[in-house]
Amino acid sequence: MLGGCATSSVTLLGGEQGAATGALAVLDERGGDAAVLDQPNSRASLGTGTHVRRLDGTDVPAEYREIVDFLPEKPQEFTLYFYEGSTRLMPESEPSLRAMLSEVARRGSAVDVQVTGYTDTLDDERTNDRLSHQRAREILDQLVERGLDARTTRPVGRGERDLAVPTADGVREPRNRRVVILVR
Amino acid sequence: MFSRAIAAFAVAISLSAPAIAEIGRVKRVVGEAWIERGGRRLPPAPGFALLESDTLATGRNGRISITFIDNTRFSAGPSSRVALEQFRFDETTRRGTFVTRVNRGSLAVVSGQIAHENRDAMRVRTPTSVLGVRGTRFVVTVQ
Repeated sequence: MLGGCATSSVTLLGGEQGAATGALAVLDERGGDAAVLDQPNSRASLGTGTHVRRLDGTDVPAEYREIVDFLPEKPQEFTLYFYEGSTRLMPESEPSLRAMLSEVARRGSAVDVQVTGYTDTLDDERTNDRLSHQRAREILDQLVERGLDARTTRPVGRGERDLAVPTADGVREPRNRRVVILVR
Repeated sequence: MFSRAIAAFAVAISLSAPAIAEIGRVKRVVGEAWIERGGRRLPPAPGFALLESDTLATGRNGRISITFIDNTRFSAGPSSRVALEQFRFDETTRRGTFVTRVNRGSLAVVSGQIAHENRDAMRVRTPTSVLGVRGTRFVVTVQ
């Protein structure tokens, strides 16, 4: 049970794994700020009137440890790079591919994988849309070979949209020839 | 009223998401927990796909955790009722709107891209208040 607070409340915690503390506002009826929390372990009571106070320390308070520990793991992103005009992986990306595959396996049946392919601006848009999709497909096939349920994901090709390194049209750029895999 | 502010806000950034689309997945469940959808109670195994308007509910020994498609993460504690009232997310622009209502119990949150891209695009309502989420990790309890 959550003890220690007899009324409804919201408590802002420090960022995860040492990340910066964010902020949270209790809004008034017009959507303005009635109170703003921006310090770790600051708590606002929610009810008639809003009172803000600081709890001791900056670690997750003992009463919240169980619920915070039950949060899902942080999603992890991997980026793999490809040879020009090809679905062949650059050798430097082999370790990332292996790390991604083992991360997917480790997360088990509740895993959710998003695979998105991209190209540089060298070819025309239609060719690049197709190539980016083929790159994503290539990675997805490797995941399915290792037991990922193909129905739980879908390869997406975004062609030369959302360049990692912005360039003019018709420019070779190895850092844009990539597949981004989001493992949730 | 609060609802008017939220409605106006929703219209302002209304996005063309399909009517029935997965918004997140159940990651872990312990004890008594279920999803309410259109008056039915569904048993949520890990991997269960959630839809907008679903309600999460737990019994006295129940817990459930979820990761949403914008990377927001939830952990609901025992004796909780949490309604996923509105969830719109454009994967290209990473903008959206996310309104959750904690009717009772406890909810831990790590906010994701919706809260990150637009101020107060993520809101958490309780029976007596509306919170604007600006990031990132917090706990709401409703007695």
